[in-house]
Amino acid sequence: MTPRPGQGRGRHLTWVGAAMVGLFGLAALSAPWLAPYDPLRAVAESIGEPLPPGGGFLLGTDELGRDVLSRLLYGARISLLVALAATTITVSIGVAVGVVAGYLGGWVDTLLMRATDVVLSFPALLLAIALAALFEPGLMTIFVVIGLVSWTGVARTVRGEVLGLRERDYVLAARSLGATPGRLMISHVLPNALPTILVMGALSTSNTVLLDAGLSYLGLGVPVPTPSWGRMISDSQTYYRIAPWLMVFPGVTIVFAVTGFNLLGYGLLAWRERGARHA
Amino acid sequence: MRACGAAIGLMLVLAACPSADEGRAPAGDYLRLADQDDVPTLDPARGYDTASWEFEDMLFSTLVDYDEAGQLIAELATEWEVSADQRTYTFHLRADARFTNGRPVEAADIRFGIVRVLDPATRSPGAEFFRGIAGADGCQSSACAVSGIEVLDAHTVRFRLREIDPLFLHKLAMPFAAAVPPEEVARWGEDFARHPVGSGPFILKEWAAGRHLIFVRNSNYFVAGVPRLAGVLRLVAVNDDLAWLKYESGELDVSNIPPAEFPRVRREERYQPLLRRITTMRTSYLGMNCEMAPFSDVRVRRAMNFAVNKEKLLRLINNRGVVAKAFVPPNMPDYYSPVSGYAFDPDRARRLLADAGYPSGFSTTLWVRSDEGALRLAQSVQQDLADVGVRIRIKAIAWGPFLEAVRTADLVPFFSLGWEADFPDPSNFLEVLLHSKHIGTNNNTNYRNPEVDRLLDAAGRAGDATARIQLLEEAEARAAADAPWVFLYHPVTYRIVHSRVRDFELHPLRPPRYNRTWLTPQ
Repeated sequence: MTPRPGQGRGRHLTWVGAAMVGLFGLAALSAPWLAPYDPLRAVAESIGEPLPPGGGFLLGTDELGRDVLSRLLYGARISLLVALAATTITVSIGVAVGVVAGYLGGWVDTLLMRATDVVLSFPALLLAIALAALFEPGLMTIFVVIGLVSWTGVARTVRGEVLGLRERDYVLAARSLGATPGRLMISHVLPNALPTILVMGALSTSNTVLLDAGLSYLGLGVPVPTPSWGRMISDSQTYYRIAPWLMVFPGVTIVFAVTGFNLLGYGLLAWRERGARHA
Repeated sequence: MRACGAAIGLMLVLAACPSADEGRAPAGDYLRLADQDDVPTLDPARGYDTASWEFEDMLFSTLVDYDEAGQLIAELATEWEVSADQRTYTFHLRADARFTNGRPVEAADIRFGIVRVLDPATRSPGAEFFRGIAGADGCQSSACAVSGIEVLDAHTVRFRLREIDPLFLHKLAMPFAAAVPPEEVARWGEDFARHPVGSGPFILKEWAAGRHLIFVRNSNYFVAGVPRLAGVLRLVAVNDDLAWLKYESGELDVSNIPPAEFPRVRREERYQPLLRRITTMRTSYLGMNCEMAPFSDVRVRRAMNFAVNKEKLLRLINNRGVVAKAFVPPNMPDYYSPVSGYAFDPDRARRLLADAGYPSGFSTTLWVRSDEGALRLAQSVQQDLADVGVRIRIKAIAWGPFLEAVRTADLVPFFSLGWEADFPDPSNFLEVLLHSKHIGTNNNTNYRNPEVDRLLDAAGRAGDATARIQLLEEAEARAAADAPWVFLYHPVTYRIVHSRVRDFELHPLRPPRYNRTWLTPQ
C-alpha cells in the first residue's frame, strides 16, 4: 500500500489489473469448455516421460500423461474459488474486528488490536501450515485456514479508517439523534469505509492466491488428483530438468493472477486517493 | 520378508532443512547416505522393514549370516552340528566376540535375544519364526523357560525343535535372532531402540530424530579388517530429488535415482561404472483389508485386480521391474508360481463390481507412504479405478507411522506396500503374509482362509521338499484366487555410488551392507 502511483497511472493500472483478473475469472469459469481434455485422466501415451508443448498438447503433458493446459484451466477454478471464498472470510473477519475496534475504542480496541498483533506475530505461512495439518485436507480447510491467518492487515487498515470516520459530522449527527452503536457502525460507518474495504479485498486476494499456491505446493492443499497450481509445481520438481514446462506454466499463471489482483488493488487505491483529494 | 516401500523412486513434498549440525557432520571416511524417512527402530526384536534392518545389521550380529552371494555362513558361530533327526542344532560360538559395552558375547545372550522376541510383552513381529523351538509355545514372559534353547556352556547353545524345520538356519540369520546383552535391555527398557548395544561392525554414535544418524566403526569387531569405513552418516528428510542433487554435487556416496533422471543415467557412459543393480525377491502390491467392507467381498477384490493397469505403473518407474502375477517373485529358486495373474480388463472389473452390489462403484481411502514415487503410483491407480467407478482418496503418511497403521486392525482399508524376501523360500511370502496367525504383524490384509492355513501348516511339517513345494503352490493358487492383494510388480533395485566408493554391492537378501565398503581418498 506504500507505493503512490501517479494520478494518471491509477486509472491505467486499474484497467490492466481488472482485465487480467477478468481473464483469469473467465478462464476459470469456462474451463469445462476451454479445456481440450479431461484434467484428471491420462490422455497421452506419455506415462513416465512428459511430452513437450506442441503437437496435440498445446502446453505438453505431465508424467502421468495428463494435459497441462487442461489442468491449468481447471486449476484456475480452484484458485479462483479459494481466492473468493478465503478473501470473503478474510475481509469479513478483518472488517468486523476493524470496525468494532475503531468505532468503540477504549479497552475493546486495545483487546482486539493486541489480539491482532498476536496473530500477526506468527509468520502467516507457518501458522497456515500448522492449522492445515490439524484438519482433513480439502477446500473447506483451505478457505478457513487462509481466512484465519490473513485478516490482520484488513483489520488494522479498516480500524484506522473508522477512527477518522467516527468523528465525521454525519456520524455525530446520527449519534445525537439517538442511533445505537450497532446501527451507526452498519449504516453510517461501514458504507463510508467501503472503498477502503474494496481495495483491501483486492490486495488480500493476491495474497490469498499466493498462500493457496504455497500450501498446495507443500502438499496441504486440495487432495490429488484435483489440479491446483501449487501442487503442479511441486509435482514437477522431479522432472524440472527433462520437462521444465511442467514447472514454468503453473508458475506463470500464479504470477499472472497475483499481478492482476495487485494491479487492481493498487489501481483502486490510487483512484480512491485521487478521488479523496478532489473531494 | 520385510516390508519395503512400494515404489523405487522415493521423494517428498517438503524439502529437507539443512541444519548447522550437518555442516559439522563427519566427512572423510564416513559413507554418506540419505533417505526421506527416519529409521523406524534399531531394536532387533522390533524392526521388520528394510530401513530398520539396514542399520540393525550394522549394530548386531547373529549366529549365522549370508555372504555376498546370499549363501549361509557362520557369523557369531564358529561351527554347528545338526542331529541325525534334524531337530537338534548345536552351535559353538567364537570366543573373541564382544558387545560394544566391552562384555564378551556368550551363549546366554543368544538365548536372551530369542526369548525376548518370543515374550509377548516385546510385541515382536518375529515371534512366529521361533515358535517351532521346543517349549516356545508357552512363553508368556521374559522369564519363561524355553526348554528347547539350552545354554550348555558360555560358548555353546543348543536348539531343539518340535518338528523338522528346513528354514531354521535362515531364521537364525534374521536380526530377530541377534545376540542382545540383557544388562543393556534392563538399563534402557523401551529406550533400547534408541540406545542399541550389539556386537556388530558399527556403533550408533548419535541419533538426532528426524535429522540424521551417525554410526562409527566398532574397532573391536571380531572380523579382522572389518569394517573399513570410519563410519556411516545417514541423513533423514532428504527426498529422492534432493538426494540426487546432493549426489551430483558430491555430498552423498550412495543414492537412489529419481525416475526423471533414470533414462539419462542409463544412457550416459560416465554413470555406468557407478550404477549398482540387483533383482531382489520382492513384490509390490496394494493390500485390501479383507475384514473391511467392501473389500470383505472377494468379487470386489478381484475387480480391483482387473481394474489396475500394471504396465502403466511400470512405465512410471522406467520399467524397473516386471509385472507381478502373484505373491512369490519369479526368481524364487526351486519354485514355480502356479498363478497366471489378473489381466488388465476394466470391463470385467465393472461386471464383478456390479455382481457384488456396487454397480456405480464405491469410495475408499488408499494409504501410501508419503513420497513422490508412491504418490505418483497412487494417482495412476486412482485414475484406473475411477474408470470402474471406484473413487479413491489418497492418504500419505511417513514410513514409521504408515507401518504402524497398516498393522492395526480395522484402520486401513487399502494400502500400498511391498515385501522383500528375508530368505530364499516361498514360505517367507506365503506364510508370513497370508497365514491367519500373522494377522497383526505382517498379514496386513487380515486375510483368513482356513484351507490356506491348513496347506501352509502342512507345508511347514512336510519333510519331503517336493511335497512341501506342492503344498505351498496350492496355497498360493488358492490365496491368489481370493485376491487379498492387487498384484503390482516385482521391482529391480538400482543405486548409484560416488566414484570414491569401493566394494559396495547390493545384497540379494538384505538391504545394502557396508562392512567391506571403503572410500578412496579424493
